[in-house]
Order: sequence, then structure tokens, then C-alpha cells
Amino acid sequence: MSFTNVEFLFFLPVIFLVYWLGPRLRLYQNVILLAGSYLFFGSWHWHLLMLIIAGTWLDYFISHQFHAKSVSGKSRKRLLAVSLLFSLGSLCFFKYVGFFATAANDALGSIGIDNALPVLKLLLPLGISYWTLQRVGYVLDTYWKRIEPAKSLLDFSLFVCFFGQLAAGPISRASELLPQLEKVRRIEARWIATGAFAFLLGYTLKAFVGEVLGESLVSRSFSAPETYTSLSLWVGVFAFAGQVFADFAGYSLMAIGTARLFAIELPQNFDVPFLSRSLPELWRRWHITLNRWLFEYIFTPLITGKGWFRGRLDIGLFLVFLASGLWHGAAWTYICWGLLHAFGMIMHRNWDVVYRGWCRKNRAFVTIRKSAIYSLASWLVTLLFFVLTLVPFRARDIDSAFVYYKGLLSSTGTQMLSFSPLAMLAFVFIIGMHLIEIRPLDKVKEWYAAIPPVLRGVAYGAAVAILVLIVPFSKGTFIYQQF
Amino acid sequence: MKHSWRSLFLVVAGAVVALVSADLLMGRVFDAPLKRQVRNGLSDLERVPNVLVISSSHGRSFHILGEVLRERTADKVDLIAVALEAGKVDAMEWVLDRRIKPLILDSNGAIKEPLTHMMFGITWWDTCRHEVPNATAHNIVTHGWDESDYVRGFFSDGATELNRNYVRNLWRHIFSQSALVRTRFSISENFGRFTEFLRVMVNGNLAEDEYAVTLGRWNDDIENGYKCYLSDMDMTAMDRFVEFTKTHNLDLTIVLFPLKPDTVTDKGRENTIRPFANQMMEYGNENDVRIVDMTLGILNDQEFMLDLDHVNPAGNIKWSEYALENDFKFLTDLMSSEDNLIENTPEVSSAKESSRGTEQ
Repeated sequence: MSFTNVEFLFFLPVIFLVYWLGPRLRLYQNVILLAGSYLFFGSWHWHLLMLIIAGTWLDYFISHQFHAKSVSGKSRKRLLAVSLLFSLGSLCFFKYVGFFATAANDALGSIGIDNALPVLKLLLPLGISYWTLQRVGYVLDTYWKRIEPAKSLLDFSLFVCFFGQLAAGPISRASELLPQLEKVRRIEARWIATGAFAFLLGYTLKAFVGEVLGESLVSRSFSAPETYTSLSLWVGVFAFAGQVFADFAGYSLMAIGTARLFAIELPQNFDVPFLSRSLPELWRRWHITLNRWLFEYIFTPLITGKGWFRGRLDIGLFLVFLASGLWHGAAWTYICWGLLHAFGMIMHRNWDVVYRGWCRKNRAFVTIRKSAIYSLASWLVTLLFFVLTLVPFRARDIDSAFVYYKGLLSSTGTQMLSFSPLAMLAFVFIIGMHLIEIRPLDKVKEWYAAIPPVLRGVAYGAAVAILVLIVPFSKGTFIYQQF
Repeated sequence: MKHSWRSLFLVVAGAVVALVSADLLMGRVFDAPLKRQVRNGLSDLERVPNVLVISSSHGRSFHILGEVLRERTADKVDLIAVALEAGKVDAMEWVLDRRIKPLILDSNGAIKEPLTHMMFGITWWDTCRHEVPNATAHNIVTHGWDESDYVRGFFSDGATELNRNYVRNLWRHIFSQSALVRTRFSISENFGRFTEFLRVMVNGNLAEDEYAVTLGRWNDDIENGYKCYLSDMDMTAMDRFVEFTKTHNLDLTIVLFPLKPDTVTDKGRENTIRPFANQMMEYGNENDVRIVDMTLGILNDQEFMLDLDHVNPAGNIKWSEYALENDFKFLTDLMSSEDNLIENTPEVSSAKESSRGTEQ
């Protein structure tokens, strides 16, 4: 089950009513949410429910051991290793064992040993990439004594698998979510209003914008790039950038909206990323919670630790983006995408060092950096880099990615993508979402806030009516759920 | 922005007003008909008819046949049609076995009165099998399942693409009175100008192109239909169906339902339509079952809907009248001898008018 599945239309109102109509007790509220979350997870595959429950219990026990006075430093390390081995081991087992077995078979095949290893095709547990990172973050935070361990197993179980964020994040820090779960939630108008708005906006992005772009432009151009003109391929790759943004930012907003309906605030996951003027800025605006996790739990410990990596920023960046590529999926295309971004980040960091040197010598460079032209050029380069690196991200394999890149430069294809009015509207929607965050246009939000509530309601009602009519008929793809 | 319960209430009120207005407006501008499904047929079966029809989605035409029959016989002969979207004999037999039998059999397992006749409406497609044998057909889940089937499916397999069909249909049923929802679900059938407009908006394709593509697909399907028709799975289900009618002394008619003439090319006729009809005739002779072949020659292209499959309201009336005067004349003869056929009285004419505007 996911937020855009029809079951959720029945599931959400039932949980909402049972949650708010029952006694106002933390225990009751958490039991209802946990039961709903296990039902949500189990609806994907019941037999894997034990995996998430076993991991939850193990990490709860271990996190308490970290804070027990009787446990020595060595034991703490051993316990940490057990926890990481279980969490990351199960993630690797489900996600990567098939990939590595195939790669090993390919390598062995080249020296004449065929099919040496069995390739398992495993069902991926719902959201494993997300709740594994959330649990690992909690365990490391308690190990480093940044936070106290969860007060109860119930609260911790809900922290791990709250259905609002189970399938695709946002990945919360324990310090953000646990305190909210450890107290009674009270229903307030602001929770319902902002929650419903975020959900509606997210649904519009995901079910309308993402699906329209995906169906009408992306699938066509990526399925047979050699048959399309260069212009169509450019439209296709920009449409994919729009699709992947709408798909995931939309889902994240729906998650945030759903959580608010239960008076729980989840962290923001996207912050108008297409306005970024540098790659580091983009990664602070795109899939924010994953990137801060990668930087907090991989990059920072590595480059500030006592080991060989200390101070080696470029190697740290390389490892972070290699991990990011691998996290997205066990495929060479994702690894290639991660490496391209590692390269981009390293280039940017070194360029920044050089430029800052120039600025120190000549203040004119500071003025240039603050100029509108520099900003515009930075924005354009960042956007183009990001969009172009999405080609391997979307392509079936590396060869197809090369065909696509070749076609972008020059294509012998003659087919043109037909641009439906809804695809145009979908682009306008994404651009509009970004533009209202730019200073001259941010008055739109004030103007919107000043509209009488009834008229705002009419606008929402009209939006729902239009969505009922035009949301495409498809299987409801969700790109980020597969990660 | 300030959020108070009052402002939230006003927002919700505004949204409800907008939604209801949009729905009413859509109902006036474009009112897609409510399509009869299995659940409508089952609810009709609260009364036991003289004639029970089980059919694919063409059961909707049989529903009009029932109306015309009731008009002609002054309600002396009742016909109820159960229409299963997407058809297939095996799926229709599942519906008979699991949903219809409990309604038409008494506690001793005997047929309830006054049911004496059964009809089975099929086309060659309903005997065609592409799916994996023994897999549950999606239309059984969508239209045949009840809550208990869904709960069993959910707790054994989780929420799957297959059992999701049940929930989707439930949602559609709950909002079946909404013109917005009805319009949304008729877009895929290219029914009417408004949905054509929406299709162009969504797909960016011109409706005429799409018509040509769809027609080509239909032509191909029928030309190659001989490769999959009369499948073992469906013919075994047909045997069970025939067996049921025989053991319960029900008069059975298998109707080969009309196809849109331009979907059948000469090659399609030679490859599929004619051999299928011949083999069904043979099947009828072997099993002592009446086979009525209406595939071609009764309706013309203009009497079909834009989906190239279903008969339009005018076509339904024409077909019903033709059938009752020819192949189905035995239905009107079910009236007792003292009751005479009522033909073309003012009441019948006005009833026809009303049926034209209702369900397809």
C-alpha cells in the first residue's frame, strides 16, 4: 500500500477517526499508530513483518546497553557492530545480493566459469532503505551519546515504522521524531489545515504532475531514444527531472501532510531544488533528509575522525556520493550517477577554493560573484549538470545512457514528442512552485493567505474536481519507492 | 496564516460547495451513464425472474432486452441480466457458482420458481485464454468478489495489484452517483465529446487517430482470435454451466452476441468468426443446447458505441426488438395462453423512450 493506492483512501480516514476519537493518552495513540503502521507494512508482504520487528527490538535493547554503566567500551563497540551488521546486513542482503552475484558471475564468466553463484531474486521489504537508515542514525546517536535511548519499546517501534514515513521517508532524526512520540498529541486546527493542504499539494504533484510527465514524455523518449529528435530528447530529460521531483517531493509532502493529521511534524525533504546555484546547495534542497544523513553519519565522522580520512574532503565526498548511488539501487547506472555527482561536488569544492583565493587577492572577484550574471550562470550550470546526470539514473543500462547522450548532441531520429496541454500544465506547475519562492513573487503567498477561507476552500474543491477528472489512468508508478 | 477551527470549517464548506457544484455541472454538461455491473444484477435477483441471463459486459444490452420483454408481455415475463465486465466463460461460471446460485436455489438445492430459462451471452473473445491457467481473473476480483473474499485475499497475499481491483471498484461504487466519477471512468471508453476532449488533453492525441488505431487493433485481434478461442479452461467452465442447467431442468440458450461489423475483416470472418460459430453450433448439437448466432447481420456500425464493442442505446432497442420477433420469440411465448402479446401500445412506446436515456 502507498499513499496513492486506493486502499489508502479507506485506511487513512479509519486510522484518523480511531486515533482522535479514542482516549487522549500517549499509550493509546501510539498503539493505534503502530497497529496501523504494521498493517500498512504487512499489506506489502506479511512474512517480512518479523524483519522490521526483530530489528526494532534488537536496536532498542542495544541502545539501552550503550547507556548502561556496567557495559565497557569494548562491549559497546561489539554491540554497535552487531546492530550495524543486522541493519546494514539485511539491507545489503535484500538489495544487493542479486547485483553482486550477477557482477561476480559476469567476471567469472569472462574466465570461463559460468553461473558460479546463484542469483537470488528477493522481494524488497517496503521502505527498507529508509527505515534502515533511520534506525542506524538512532543507534549511532545513542552510541555517541548525542541522545538518550527511547523511553519505551512502543515509542521506538513507532519511530522506526510510522506509516507516514515508512515507505519513502522523510528520514527523521531520533531527536526530531522521538520526543513527539513520547508525549500526548492534541488535535488542533493548524495540524488539520496544514496537513490536508500538504497532502493535497503532494497528491497533485505526484499523481498529476509526475504521472503526466512520465506517461506522455519520459517513458516515450527513454524507451527508444534513437527514434527521437535531439529537441525531443532534451524535452524528455527535462521532463524526467520534473517527474522525479514531482514524484518524490509530492510523496514527501503527502507523508508530511499525513503525519500532521496525527499532530506529528516530519522534516522537510525538498526545498525548491531547481533554484539552486551550486551543487552543494542543490543537495541541501533535494532529498534533504537523505543527504544530511549521509553527511552526518558518513562524511563528518570520516573527515573529522582520527583515521586516514581525516581532512581528506574530496575522498569523503567521493565516498558519500558513491554510497548515495548505491543506496538508490543495485545497478551500474546508479553507481555512475553517484560518481558523476561525486565528480561534480569535488570540482565545485576545488573551484571554490581557487575562487576564494582570487577573491582574497582581488576584491573585484567578490563583486563578480555577487552579480546577477554570475548567479544566473551558476544556476544554469547547476541545473544543466543535475538534469544531464539524470540520464544514467533513468536509462535501462549504461549503453542506453550513452545512446541518449549521443542523441542529445545529434540524433538521426525523426519522431517528435507530442506535447499535450496537460504536460505543458505540469511543467508550469513545477515552475510556478519554484517561482513563488523568489523574492519579487513571494508576495503571492501573502496574497493567498489574505483570501477569505471560503474562497480558499472553493479553490481546493475545484482542484479536487479537476484531479478526479484528469489524473492519468496508470499503475501509479513511484520512482523512489523502489529504492 | 492563522488556523482556527472556524476558518477550517469555512474552508471545508467552500470545498464541499465547489465539489458539489462541479458535480452538478458535470451532470448537466455531460452525464456518463452508470454502467450495470454484477452487483446490479445480483440486487435485481432479489426477485426470481423467468429468464436469467449471464453475460459479459454485453449483459447491459440484455438488460434492455428484459425491459422490452416486460413491456411486450405486460410484466408477465421477467428477464434479469447479470453483466460481468471483461467477460470470459470461466469467470462468468465463477459468478454463477459463487454469487448467483445462492440466490436462485432454495434450501433443497432446487431452482426457485418461476425461473425456467437461462441464457448465456458470449462472443469468441469470452472463450479466449491468455492468462496463466488457474490464476484468479481480475474481473472476478473487481466485480465478483465480496468483502470476505477481499479480506481473505488481503491477509493471504497483502495488498496486491490484483486484489486492489476490488477496493477500486468499491470506491467507484460508493461514488457511483457522482457525475465527476462516472465521467472519469468513461474517459477510457472514449464515450462522448467531453471525454474525447479530456483524452486529447491527457494524451495529446487526436481522437480520429486513436479511432483508427483502435479499429486496427480490433481487426488484428479478431483475425488472430482462432489462436486462443475455445480454450480448455473456458470450455470446461461452459460444460459445468450446461451441466448445471441440465440437472436443474433449465432451458439454456447460448447467444453469440453481435460484433461491430467494421471490426470484422474478411480475414477475421474466415479465420475466427465463422469457425467459432460452427464449432459452437456443433457444441450445441452435442449437448442439446440452443445456439443463436447473432454475430453479424443484425446491427450496423452506427449502432455501436465509440469503444467499438458495446451497442449504443438505439442499437439496444433495435436488437431487442429483432431478437424478440425472431430468435427469442420463445420468450414472449412464456406468457400463459390467455395473455396476448402487447405490441406498440402507447405505454410500450413511452417505456422505450425512457429506456433509451438510461443505462447502456
